[in-house]
Amino acid sequence: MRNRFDQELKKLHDDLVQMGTFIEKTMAKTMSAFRTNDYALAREVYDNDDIADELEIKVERRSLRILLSQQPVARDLRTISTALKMITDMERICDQAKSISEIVLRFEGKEFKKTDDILQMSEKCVIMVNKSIDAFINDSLELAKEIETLDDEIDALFKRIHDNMASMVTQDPNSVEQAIDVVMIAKYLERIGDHAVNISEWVVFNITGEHKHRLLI
Amino acid sequence: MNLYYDTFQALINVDLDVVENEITAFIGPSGCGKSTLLKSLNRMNDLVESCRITGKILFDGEDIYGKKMNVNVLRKRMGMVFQKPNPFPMSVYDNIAYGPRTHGIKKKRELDEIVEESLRNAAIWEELKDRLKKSALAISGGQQQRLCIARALAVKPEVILLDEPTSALDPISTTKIEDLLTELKDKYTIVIVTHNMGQAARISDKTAFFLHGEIVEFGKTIELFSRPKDKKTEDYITGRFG
Repeated sequence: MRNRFDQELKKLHDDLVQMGTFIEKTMAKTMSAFRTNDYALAREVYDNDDIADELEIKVERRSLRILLSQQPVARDLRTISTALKMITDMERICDQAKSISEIVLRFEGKEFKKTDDILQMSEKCVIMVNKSIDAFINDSLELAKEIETLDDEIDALFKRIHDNMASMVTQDPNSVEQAIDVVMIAKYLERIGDHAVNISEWVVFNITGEHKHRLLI
Repeated sequence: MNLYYDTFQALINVDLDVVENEITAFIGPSGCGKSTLLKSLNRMNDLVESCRITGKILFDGEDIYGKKMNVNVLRKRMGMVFQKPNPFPMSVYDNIAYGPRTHGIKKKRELDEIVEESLRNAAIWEELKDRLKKSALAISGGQQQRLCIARALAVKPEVILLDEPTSALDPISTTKIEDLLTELKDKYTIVIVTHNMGQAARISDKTAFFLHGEIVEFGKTIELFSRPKDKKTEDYITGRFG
């Protein structure tokens, strides 16, 4: 009865999976470039930011076309709203990854000391992003809800890194430049965590109609 | 209530409240019983010989199928507008004046007032005020349907029943009728049967979804169209069957 509509929704889902996969890969590459000083990889992330923009536009186009032609209601309406909201966060994650890569590239040829905290934070961030995308793909409330706990850990790590860098600068004024960059990377990671939380909140909305424990429609 | 045509049961344990000054929409696939229920509300089914009803339909607490009920008075209190505009083959003016005349109003001035007020309330006065003596059959379909609404309003009903009132109209006429109904609900109680789910979502306060003679779900329109409780409702409103 609604073959065409279902096909369109399937294509929309495929587009989102494609964008999600791209973001997971981008995050993995960024963190690997950061950990191992792989400047070629950092450059690749930096240069590939346009791809996320293109994927975002593709989802926007398809969503608007479905809204126009099918006037969706109920779960269909939530699915399309979720797509339109989620891609903003997905695209922002890529922007933050690009900014981290930019810092990595700036340190080419110099020594960049990575603390355990920042390495731990980067690992947790990758897990968060992957979980939020998995929650969407698998339509899973459980996965979506796990993300909040991880975000608390990320926030705590950010605070610790910030405080440590502040005291490092006091002890060794020569370390200012590196301390600023570490704090910036930590801030980008903290923002990435927030975007992953946003994605998971839209996944919850898609399934239940509730966004941040409030009924939107 | 239950309704049977001979041995076929067309409505099964139907139980719902139509609230004053609200628009209540009945939706569902063809043959689900929604029009049958609408017609039962002002006893249009009396004309169908094999029709039998059990249970009660209460209007202001009074059983409309009770022995004391005067059907003519009931139909005056509950006006009806049909799918196809059905103006009488007479002038615009006489179409509106027909009902009041049958209820004993003869004075021209009084009738003039009723005609103008009814046409104004149906948002068609400006379009027809210079064509009152013209045949109602000569105006457009959209105007004819608003004329029929005006004709229903002329006998000062409390409830307006509409059976797919816009299904034969173009989008602009449809929008006019929808705007009109939204305005009229301040003064009247409106029950509308519609196949157009967008229309139910746009104008109604409550929606009942019918399937095979039963109400599957009844509730606030916004909730029914955003978070239907029953999977059958979700399947129908999203076009998965029907």
